[in-house]
Amino acid sequence: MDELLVVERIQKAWDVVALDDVSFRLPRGHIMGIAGPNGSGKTTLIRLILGHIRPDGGAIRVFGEDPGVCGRDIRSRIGFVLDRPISYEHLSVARLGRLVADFYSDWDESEFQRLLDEFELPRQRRASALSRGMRVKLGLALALAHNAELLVLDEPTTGLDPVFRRELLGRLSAIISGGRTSVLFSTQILTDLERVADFAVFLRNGRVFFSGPKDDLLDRWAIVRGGPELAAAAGADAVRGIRKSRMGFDVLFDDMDAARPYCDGSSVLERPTLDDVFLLLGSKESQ
Amino acid sequence: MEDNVLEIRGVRKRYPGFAMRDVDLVVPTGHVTGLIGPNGAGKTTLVKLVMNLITREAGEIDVFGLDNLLHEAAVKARIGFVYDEPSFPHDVNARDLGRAIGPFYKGWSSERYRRLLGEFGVPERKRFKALSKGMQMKLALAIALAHDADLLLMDEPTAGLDLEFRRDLLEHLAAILEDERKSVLFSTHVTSDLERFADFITLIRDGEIVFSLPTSDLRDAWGVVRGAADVLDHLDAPDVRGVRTGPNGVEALVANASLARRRCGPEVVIDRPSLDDVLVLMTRGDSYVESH
Amino acid sequence: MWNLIRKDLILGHRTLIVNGSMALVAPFILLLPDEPPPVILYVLYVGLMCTMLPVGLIAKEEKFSATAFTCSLPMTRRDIVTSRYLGGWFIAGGSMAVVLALGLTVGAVRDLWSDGASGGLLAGFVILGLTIAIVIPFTIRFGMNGLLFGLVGLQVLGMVMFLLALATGGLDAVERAVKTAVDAVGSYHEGVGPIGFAATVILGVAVLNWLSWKASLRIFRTRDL
Repeated sequence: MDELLVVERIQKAWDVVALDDVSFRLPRGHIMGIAGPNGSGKTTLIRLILGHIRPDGGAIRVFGEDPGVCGRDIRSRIGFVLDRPISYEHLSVARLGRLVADFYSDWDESEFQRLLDEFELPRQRRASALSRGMRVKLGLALALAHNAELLVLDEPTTGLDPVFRRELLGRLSAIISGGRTSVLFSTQILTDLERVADFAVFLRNGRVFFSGPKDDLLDRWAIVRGGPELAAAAGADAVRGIRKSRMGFDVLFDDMDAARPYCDGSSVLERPTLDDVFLLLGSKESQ
Repeated sequence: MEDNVLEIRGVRKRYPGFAMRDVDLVVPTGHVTGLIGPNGAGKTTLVKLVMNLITREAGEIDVFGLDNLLHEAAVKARIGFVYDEPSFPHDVNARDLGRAIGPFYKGWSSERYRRLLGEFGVPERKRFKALSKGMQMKLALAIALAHDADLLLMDEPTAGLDLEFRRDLLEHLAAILEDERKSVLFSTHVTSDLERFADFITLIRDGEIVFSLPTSDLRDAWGVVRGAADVLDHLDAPDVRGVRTGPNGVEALVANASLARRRCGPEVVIDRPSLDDVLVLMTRGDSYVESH
Repeated sequence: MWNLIRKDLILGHRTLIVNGSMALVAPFILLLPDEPPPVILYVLYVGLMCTMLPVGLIAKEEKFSATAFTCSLPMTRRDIVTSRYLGGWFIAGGSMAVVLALGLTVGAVRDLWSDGASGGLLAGFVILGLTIAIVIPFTIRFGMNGLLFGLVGLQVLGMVMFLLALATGGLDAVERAVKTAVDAVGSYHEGVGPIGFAATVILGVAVLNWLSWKASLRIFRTRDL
């Protein structure tokens, strides 16, 4: 499998540990979503992947090379859209385009123009005057216009309303449909992953507590919600997480068949949402 | 005790570029009503009208059966409010706020306030400016919950808060609602919060209330039909509330899923709609009736 | 009502302490020149600084968009406006009394008062009343920025008018007009005596404040937040 991105046992610390033993891989033509609350290390991870900072331990390979020291041809195959405002915010959309075009040898101007039209971005407006959603779209247009094979986005959906969010995610999905490009994005909103991600990585306090195909989670896992007696389920093999609820406990199983016996009149068996999986895998009671 | 904790009738308000006309809305007592809609639809405007932060041009607003203008103080004494960007002077801390605000509310309990601050993890002596946005929101929540309000009016109370806290908050609110006299009006973008928590869902779009329905109706009777473009031909036009065409085909939101099932046959995929689906398909979606 | 004033005091106590300290110390600047100023000037100066204390609280609330919060508390807009006036008099008047009293502990200041004490006190009352009556409606409507713009605007207006008067040679006319007004006040003073004069002035200030309060009520009642 052609793996565009390989992250292996990454360590990074400032005065607190930002990332601890983080590993995952992203194959070509797929979308990976990294979910975690504020401070979990998402942005640090992205900066490491882009080579803006160096890990203390472990290795990252992008197109087989170290992103911190790789050459221009590797760099030009990566496109990124960051959470922080774009520098040169006082420039207009059109001028920003011209500025960025100079950095990339295979800049496709007609593609950029086409994307500006498709995203309905006003060419003469200053970047700083664009709404948040439009800024993300601009970043996306800039990244796509140089035919990036790996697109990295830091919290692109934060602050957008559900309608805009869905549009943006739809575009990401369309981008990978050709099989050539992969997308990596971070978010706090798990429904984003549910919607478009092929792979999910759950991050909390710098540690990955789940990494794998998203469909597995949604198709095979199950959640049983019931009263206090469910505490007894805690030790079972297929149980991946447990959390106290108002009525008693919620228990997460990685196999629906294994969950059925625990479901009787007073408890309910459901397909979990990714919110549920995230909460239950990482809950205090689970540790 | 009234059936409806909040009744909005024929309300009108205009801004440049936005108009709210003849809005009717009812929030039943003892339940959670979720208010959803795209940016700029009027969610915040509604909340501000109830709290009289902006003046209505026409119509009536009754809270606890009382007109919100004629009985302004009495009404507000029983409302706990959270606005989408809590704002206090920078050098003020949680303790100061508690001491300053407590005397306004009969039901205020400083014990309860401090307990909430503790539960939410808000430091009592830290200046407001030094708190993270999430903490600021938690402080606003603690204030709203500390005086045992009968109506909780919340505008985007969970923006920027992590999943763990959001769940805990919703469970906390659910516990409060075990008292039938309490009600909640909760406006938010994070529709997943409302999925299991809201009893009623109201959708607002361009200053108009599009519908106000029990969540169970939406969940059980409505559906999302996904398929190729021709699937629309099978569906009954009035039932189709919104359609979206994408690269993978068509998504159609229907108000009668079982009817659609009979019409379309077993191969077509019809799912339960999530609130997100409902919001998106009814706002950005094209109206089926218009295009046919 | 008093809850509102108390709230403002609690939430603004740090600002009050800082500004209050300045109000305490600053007037001593007036004592620096060889020729001490008339006591009226001293009182006016203290009065202005003290009035800025409650005004600063209102402006601060406006600056941080905390007015929406205040208006969400179980009070009517009328209560809020009235508390601003009452609070204004209370805080400004109270602090003025403190500053003036503390000033008396300094010999140089006591000397100032030895000549024209009653005039000084009346001046204090007038400056308090005038500033509150003029500044509060402005701040309620326009917030802190509006107030600053207003003050700067007035200064600019003054300069423009002065230049105009200079250019058109009307400065003499202005001087005559001012003299006539001052003479009129002086003869009224002689006519009704010091007590009658004081009573008129106090009544005038009270009426002005009442009108200002009415205006503020109207402004604030329909202001969208």
